[in-house]
Amino acid sequence: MNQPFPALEVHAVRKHFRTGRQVFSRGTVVPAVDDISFEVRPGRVLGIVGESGSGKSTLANLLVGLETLSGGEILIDGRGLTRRRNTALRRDVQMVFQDPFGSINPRFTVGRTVEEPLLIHRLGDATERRQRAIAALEDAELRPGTAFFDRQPHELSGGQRQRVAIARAIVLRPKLLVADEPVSMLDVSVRAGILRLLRRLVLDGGMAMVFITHDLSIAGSICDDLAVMYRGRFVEYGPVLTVLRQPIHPYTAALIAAVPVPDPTVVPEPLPARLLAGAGVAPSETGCRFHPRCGLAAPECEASPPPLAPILPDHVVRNRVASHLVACHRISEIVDGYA
Amino acid sequence: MALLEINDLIVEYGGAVRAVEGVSLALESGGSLGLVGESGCGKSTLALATLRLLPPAGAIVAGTIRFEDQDLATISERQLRAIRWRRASYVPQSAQNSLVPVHSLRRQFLDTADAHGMRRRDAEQEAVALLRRVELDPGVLDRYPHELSGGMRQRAIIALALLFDPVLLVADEPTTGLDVIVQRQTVTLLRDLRAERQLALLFISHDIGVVAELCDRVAVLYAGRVMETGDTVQVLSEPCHPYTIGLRRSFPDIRDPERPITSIAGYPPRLSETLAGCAFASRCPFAQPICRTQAPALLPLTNGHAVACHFAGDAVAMRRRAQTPGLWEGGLAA
Repeated sequence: MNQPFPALEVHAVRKHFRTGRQVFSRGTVVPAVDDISFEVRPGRVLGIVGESGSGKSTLANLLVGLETLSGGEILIDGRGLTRRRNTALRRDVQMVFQDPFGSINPRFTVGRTVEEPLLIHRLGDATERRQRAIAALEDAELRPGTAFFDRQPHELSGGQRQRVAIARAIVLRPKLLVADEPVSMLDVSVRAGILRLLRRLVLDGGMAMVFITHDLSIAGSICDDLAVMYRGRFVEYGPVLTVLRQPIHPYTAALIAAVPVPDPTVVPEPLPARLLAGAGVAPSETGCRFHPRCGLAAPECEASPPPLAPILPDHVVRNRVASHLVACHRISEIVDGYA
Repeated sequence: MALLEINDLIVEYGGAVRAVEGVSLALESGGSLGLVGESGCGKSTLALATLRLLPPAGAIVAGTIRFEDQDLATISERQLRAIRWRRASYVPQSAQNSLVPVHSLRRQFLDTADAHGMRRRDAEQEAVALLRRVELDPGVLDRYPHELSGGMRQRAIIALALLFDPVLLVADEPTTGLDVIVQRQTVTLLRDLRAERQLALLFISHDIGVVAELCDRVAVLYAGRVMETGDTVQVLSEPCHPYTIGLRRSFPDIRDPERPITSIAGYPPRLSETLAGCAFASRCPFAQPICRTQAPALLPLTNGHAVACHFAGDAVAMRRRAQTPGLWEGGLAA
């Protein structure tokens, strides 16, 4: 069977910010996103997980054109997302934001909110726009859509608001949906419903989705693949269950070990001292960004950047897959430890 | 006798909204109690009310808060000042932003010492020792909050809260908004401090994972009421209230990433309305007619484990039925 053409292709993308003079520095170039490449096919969800400052939100903003690239290329459905305003292309990429209280205009009715993208792109007449907005609301499981159409945002719960934001994002039938922490501000008892909705929309609509999150524990229920980001780079990439169950990169392993488990009989392991102490240490310009915090760091880790590469064939162990990529010089030692 | 004993506490906002409705809780000396629940369940209000720190619109309408032989609900402001910070300290929800941005940490330690009666020289010594204990270089005393990372600020706040070596620490979501690694570091620190200082901890969180790591006992709140309380192991491994059962299933577990998480359809009741029956009845997949007419009392089930559900006795069957696909969603979009 032919693989569908990727909905999103990201080639060697970079985004550098120049910070102004601060108390401890004279202004430096910060690589928020540094040489990142990946692709997402229709109907697939790529999760990007990282801590604050990892660059995951900058990457999300680059994908939707809210930031301009410092280097590299982003293709949506085979066409380049350039600095120039490209309305047709922008229609194909939509975003769902973290805060459903901040991302929806409180003065707009639900219907107006969902119609807004159609108005901006001058699609359809009033009747048609209303129909499409109602259909999008129903797709977002706000049923009946006609009943929600005239409601005000303040009448809705956080979960319902996020569904309105999702309806607004899908009303243009985009090829790519970028969701930046879409459930992290919602109560846990409504999160599952939103995740399942996004998953269904991706499958039914043949969309691709990039799902940005800091929460590793929800990645398993929404993503197909998972990329772990640290200081602007991908350190690990692979099928979500493989990455969560058999992480290779020491940073991924540390992140997973730190997630609280809702089981009081489990005594949390203390985190390695170097992981904590090294957090404030600037990594060398040339090496692996994680080396100051890594218990396995060797001289080579400071000297050269490890490439993001498949786990070597001679290290292939049971359940390993070719699409599992890791950026670590010490990969052989770690994989041998698993075998 | 318990260090802190809250009895039948009722807190209202603007005389109309009942944020806390008849809550009774106890915390032993050196013990730890986690208050868990979702937004609007009254957990922060309860924490604030415990030290009488409610905003002007909030008022304790009824109930007692016994702490070291005094009723904090009724004593004078002056008497309260002798307790706050000295005997019972508070780490607020937006702890990261609760330091004064324009003052050095030294100034904040010294101002606190002045306000509550500690000599400056003693305060300075104590501050250095506490900062070392929370693994911060005492050099941060000359730094300003914006120069510290979120995790460092959080540890500085904990050090500040411990300046008078209190017996009770009330912490409202102190790890929310921190990255997981920093969160684990903070939780470990709180655990160790509790043990070293015989510090009792009233810990408010929406994250049952963090409560599981930190607290010996837990109270599950919903619509201002305690639904279930008991030993953390017991409540989380064999929940007996349908809300706890549902909440537990809503939480993902990193060890089992394939387990589907569920949501609970519907919304909490409006706190401005009087409820005839159980507060959770409208969302409960096990609700019977009696649940809509008669509020269940919080009754002991076994030693130290109490549940407010008419059908708590059928918990084993409810936990089994809870696994039925689609049971919790009920087709409603929450």
